[in-house]
Amino acid sequence: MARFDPLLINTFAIGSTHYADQYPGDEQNARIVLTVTPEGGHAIPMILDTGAPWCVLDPELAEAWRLTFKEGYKPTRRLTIRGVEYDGSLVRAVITLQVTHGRDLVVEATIFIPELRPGDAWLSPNFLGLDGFLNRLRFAVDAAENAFYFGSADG
Amino acid sequence: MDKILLKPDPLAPDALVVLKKMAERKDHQGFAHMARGIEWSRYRPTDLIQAIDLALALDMVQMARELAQTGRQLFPQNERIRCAAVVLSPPVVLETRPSQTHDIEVSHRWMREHSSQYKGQWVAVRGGTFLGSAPTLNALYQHIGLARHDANAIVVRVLG
Repeated sequence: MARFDPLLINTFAIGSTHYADQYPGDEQNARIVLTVTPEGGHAIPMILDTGAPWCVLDPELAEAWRLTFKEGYKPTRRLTIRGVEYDGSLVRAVITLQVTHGRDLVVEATIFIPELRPGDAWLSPNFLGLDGFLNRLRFAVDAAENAFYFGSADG
Repeated sequence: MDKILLKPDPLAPDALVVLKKMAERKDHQGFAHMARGIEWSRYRPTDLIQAIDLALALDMVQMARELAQTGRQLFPQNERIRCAAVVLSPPVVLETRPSQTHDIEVSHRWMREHSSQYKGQWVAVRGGTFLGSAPTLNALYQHIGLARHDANAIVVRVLG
């Protein structure tokens, strides 16, 4: 149990979860990496990024989980992800934020699925973005024990 | 004669051209002023879609959302605008439910201590136990026979 669970859960938050502080394979950069489950799939790590407008999902995961078959909106212009422009589609999908204490939070979010050219590989992490996901949540971080507290901003 | 700088007029016939130029210049403030002022009912749905896409390319999500909602009211039969309005609508908290997962922390610890050995590979871990690795996600599924909805298994492509 995280230190502030008794104080925050059922008041500020509905749950807390342990976060990793680096994305697998990227040991040089400190991150807040949450474990979430997009619909149709397994748990995956996603970096909390308040500077990113969208959630961004590895296209290989999106294809395996058939998210690429969902009705989406493909802008005629490329979108910029981490400074690189990509073609791709925006889709609505359900993402479950997993807890270690309290209750899971289930959110319908907007996800950007990059479209790669043949032979290209996606070499970026998965992201949880602000406008597509985080801005309906309230959250707090206790860096002392890698605890992420969260709840619905509406409730 | 001094050049007179006029504030762009959203009602001018060439407003869409000006809007594109503002997008090219990455003039977010000017773009928002113009886009909000344009009488979109005078334009075609394809013009509005262009404006939505320009806003998206500028990372102006709220602006794109507003334009899509405007388009939905003005052109309810247009399928592409309807789709944009749905996809760009704000995220919605659907429900809360009892936790279905366990041992996230030990899986994080495994990733921290061991994932660097698998750079560029897909790996799966459950409850801190390594399940397998493969160069592609499909190969990983075949290799370890992972159930597609096993919420306790964490799957990731380790950055290379």
